[in-house]
Amino acid sequence: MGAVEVLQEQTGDVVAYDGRRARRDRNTEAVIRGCWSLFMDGELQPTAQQVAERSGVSLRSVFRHFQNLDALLRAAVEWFVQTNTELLVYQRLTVDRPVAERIESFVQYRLRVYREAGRQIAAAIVRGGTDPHVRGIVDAHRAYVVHELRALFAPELERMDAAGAAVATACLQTAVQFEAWENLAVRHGLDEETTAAWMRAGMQRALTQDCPKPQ
Amino acid sequence: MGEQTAAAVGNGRDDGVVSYDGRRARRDRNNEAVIKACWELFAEGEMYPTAQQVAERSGVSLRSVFRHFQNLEALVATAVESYYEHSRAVWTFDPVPLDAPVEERIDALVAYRLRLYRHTGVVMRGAIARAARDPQLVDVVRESRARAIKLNEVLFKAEIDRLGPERRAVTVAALHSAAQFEVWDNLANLHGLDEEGVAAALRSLIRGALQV
Repeated sequence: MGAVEVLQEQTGDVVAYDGRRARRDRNTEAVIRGCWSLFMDGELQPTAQQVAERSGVSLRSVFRHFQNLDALLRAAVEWFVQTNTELLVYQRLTVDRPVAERIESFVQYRLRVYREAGRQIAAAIVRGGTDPHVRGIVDAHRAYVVHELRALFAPELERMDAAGAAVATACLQTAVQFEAWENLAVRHGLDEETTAAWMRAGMQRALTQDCPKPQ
Repeated sequence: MGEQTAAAVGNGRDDGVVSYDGRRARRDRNNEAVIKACWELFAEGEMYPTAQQVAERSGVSLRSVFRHFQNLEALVATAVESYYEHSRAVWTFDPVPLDAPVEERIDALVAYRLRLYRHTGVVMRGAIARAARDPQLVDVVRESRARAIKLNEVLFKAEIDRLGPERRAVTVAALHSAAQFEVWDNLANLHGLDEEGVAAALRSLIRGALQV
């Protein structure tokens, strides 16, 4: 299976998170909220004890609802994806809009996600380092972003040969990916407008290639 | 096989941990086997090995493992540090004349980063992931990022200066974003680009940061 098929298959998963676990009781939700509250405080690898304290639920109750800490943190990441569909889904513009407008709308979409969920994404990426299931959720979202970019810039990408389009797509996604935002805005402390300008410029450059073809 | 390990024999690396660093000139074989077992587990994607796993892999008893290392965190931090030391040859940037054309310097940087990631990518990913909860590794990761930024600054001094002092911080940040580890990981592993594709993308991203 080629990379493209794998991505498309994973993209299908994004949709499937919805509604899988529609019924949670209050304690379960309290535990998950406690977990997110710790993530928001920058505690990306909380212990079960911390989660119990933060959620006001006994440690025993925590483990009545979740088999172990891994299962709990996994559920927290899944819950986030399920309850934030509106934030995570891109309202795609039609391809007849000018390129600059499509770029702007995508940059604004990603910035909104990072502004509202940067900590959660960082937590999910860290968890993904040890939990393949969480890594799968992160990768599925990345694949969804790639899928949207391909659709949004289909006319431009179709004008390129296959190798050029693959590099251009990779450059488009790299320009707006979480790690770019984290590096520019968090690590180097650039303000949002400057960060946005770099993302725009990166996307523009990816499309006007300029990404030299692989020799 | 006795206490001194399948790992030491199996991986064919006979350049001991011992030699990487004068500070630790005298470690016995067990110690070395433990560290190498750790590297192997990293390379297999097991970034949070248990002491038991390390012991089994290295053929050293659990008790012996903790004779050499105070705790698991100390062991892992030592393993990561020594891995960086071990990879020193890979980390060394082949000098390119600073008055060479910018394209040539970009090519040199791209070739360097690709070689680095090819050799140390798995352990770098692990170190970054672990640094989130392991303060001992935060410095290792920070130092490696600082080194990357410094190299960019030296290599592209002319271009950074030309963009003007008020754009300096932004240019340096953009340059770092273009060539940082996470970008490579993304291009190679999410997008599945082959090495030439990765190189093409990196060149474009670096040129974008430099506005050339």
